[in-house]
Amino acid sequence: MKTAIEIKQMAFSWAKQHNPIIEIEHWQLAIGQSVFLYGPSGSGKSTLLNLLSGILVPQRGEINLLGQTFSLLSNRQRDNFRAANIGVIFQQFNLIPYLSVADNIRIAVKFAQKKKPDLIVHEDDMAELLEHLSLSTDLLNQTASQLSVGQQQRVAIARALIHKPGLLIADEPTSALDSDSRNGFLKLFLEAAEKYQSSVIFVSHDRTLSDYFEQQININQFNQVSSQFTINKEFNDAI
Amino acid sequence: MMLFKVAWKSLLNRKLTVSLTIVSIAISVFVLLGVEHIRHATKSSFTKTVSGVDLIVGARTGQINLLLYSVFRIGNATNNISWKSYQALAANPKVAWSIPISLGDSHQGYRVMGTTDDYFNHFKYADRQALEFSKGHAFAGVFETVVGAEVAKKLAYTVGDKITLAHGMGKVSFSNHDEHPFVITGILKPTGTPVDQTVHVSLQGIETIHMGWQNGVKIPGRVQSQSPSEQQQLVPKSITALMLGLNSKIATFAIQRAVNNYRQEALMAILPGVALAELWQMMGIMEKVLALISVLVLAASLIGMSTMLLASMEERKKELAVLRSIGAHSSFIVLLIELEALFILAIGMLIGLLLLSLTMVLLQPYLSYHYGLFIGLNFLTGNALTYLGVIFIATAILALIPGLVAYKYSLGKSLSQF
Repeated sequence: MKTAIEIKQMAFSWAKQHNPIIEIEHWQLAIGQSVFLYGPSGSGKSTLLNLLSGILVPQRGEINLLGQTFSLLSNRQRDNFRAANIGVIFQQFNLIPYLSVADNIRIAVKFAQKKKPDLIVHEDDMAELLEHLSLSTDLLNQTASQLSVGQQQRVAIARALIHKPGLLIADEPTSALDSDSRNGFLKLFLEAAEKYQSSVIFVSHDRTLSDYFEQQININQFNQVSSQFTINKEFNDAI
Repeated sequence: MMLFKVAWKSLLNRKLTVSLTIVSIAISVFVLLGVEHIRHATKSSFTKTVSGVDLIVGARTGQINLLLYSVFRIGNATNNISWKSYQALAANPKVAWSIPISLGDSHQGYRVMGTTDDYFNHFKYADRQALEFSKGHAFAGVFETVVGAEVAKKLAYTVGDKITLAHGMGKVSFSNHDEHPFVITGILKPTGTPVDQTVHVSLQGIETIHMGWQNGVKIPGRVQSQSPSEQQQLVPKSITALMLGLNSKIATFAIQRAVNNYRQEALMAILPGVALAELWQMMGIMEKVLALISVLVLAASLIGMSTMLLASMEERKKELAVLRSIGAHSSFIVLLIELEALFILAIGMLIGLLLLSLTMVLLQPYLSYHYGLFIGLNFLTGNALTYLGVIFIATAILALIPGLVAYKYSLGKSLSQF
């Protein structure tokens, strides 16, 4: 069976002479599964997400995404792969503030079309997706910066899913939301991901959210570099 | 195109800083092309002032001084030429024609020039263009005058009007030749040269109004009245300068040498073209300084634009991270910054050019009135287009600074929100 994510003997450090800050012997996520990833700050969560989205490249080992050896691609190929196969949701700044909601979604489609030429998104598709996320379709023509944070985060889900990516990466997307809308958001998020058959990797401090996910993983379980060591190392480097 | 739309909307999103940058670019384009155009126009207007004259002869002085007072009516002669010397020169078989010039009086701030009919027949300007009358004809009588186009226009004169001349220069003069009014018999067509600002009278006219004057002051009771026929016969004792046309260009240097070695009087002869070139060369330093300043102004505003884009990079990191996260290449981000810079430049340039054409339209009458400068409205000639091209390239290169900073961000963790 194809996996959504498979990491083998991977290590990453900021510079060759430094000790690795992340080292993973083996980890995999099956297609369609959702995983809740948690861990203290400095434990390498952000670095892992950067590696998974292809912004960073490991020095050793490999990362396979959706059957593709992602870490062996060139920069440009990784960008194109990300455009077509990965949806990303950040903590709160997800939309280009001066573009309309529709343009924010369209631009993601434009980049995805390079690798998925048969991907066609009509206005209706966008409207339908917004409705699924309990958003008024009137928002489409509004400038992104006019939306509330909660609305922006839901538009971000739409933007991340519009091109039906195999993998959805979310980094504390609920941290800017109050606890009432947090649960609503999470429900909509997981429903949409399921509808679009995306595997999900969701990072958060907030352990109360972990029950919504099929798997819960503490990053320290598989990162062989202990966070304690990392902090000491950085501290020593600083002096 | 998505890229164009993003760049454009991004600029609209930062209206204040962007419009200030646009204004600074508009001003510097305005200054650069304005200076270039005026320089160009001045040079051509300048070299147009005299043509077809082979030699200008005056009392011994600097060649530029002689050129300035005889052709540009700027400054004063150090000394005069005796009428005898003039006659001797004019009689030289190699001389085809000669124009005597007598300066020193004025009318309402315009210089008065005493001369003969030969002036209207032989003097040429621009591309061997002869003087033409828009109204009337050359002076015939002693108290008749021909005025330049601008004199007539500014003072609203027409043929038949009577004017009085003043001794010396300046609009207000305390010693007027008011006992001898002159009648305007002709008005010249505009030439774009100092001729337009000149009041022309006959040499006899100049002589007559100065009868009974001594050392530049009117002596009452010394003025004898003369009959018109006597006045016609008056022969001036001296003139200020003279212009010569030769039968053959080859004789130019021989005549020049002969004049310079003339034993009876200290004279000098200059070649107008050579003197014009030397004068222009003197102004060349000014001209180069101006050009340098305008280039520096432009460089400052282009660097300012680059700084503005660079400063905005910090606040735009998140926005660029979003673009990267949806699959934009690093090169897309560089292109985005480049495009924003070029949009700013294009708008600034357009405004600068509009401003310049507007200024030209408004300034043209003033320049021609005060400086005799005829400035064409078409400034997009020759160098100007090269400048615009160079500015575009310079902008593209300078925009690479913020562009490459953004590129560097985009390759590492610093452009990530994780």
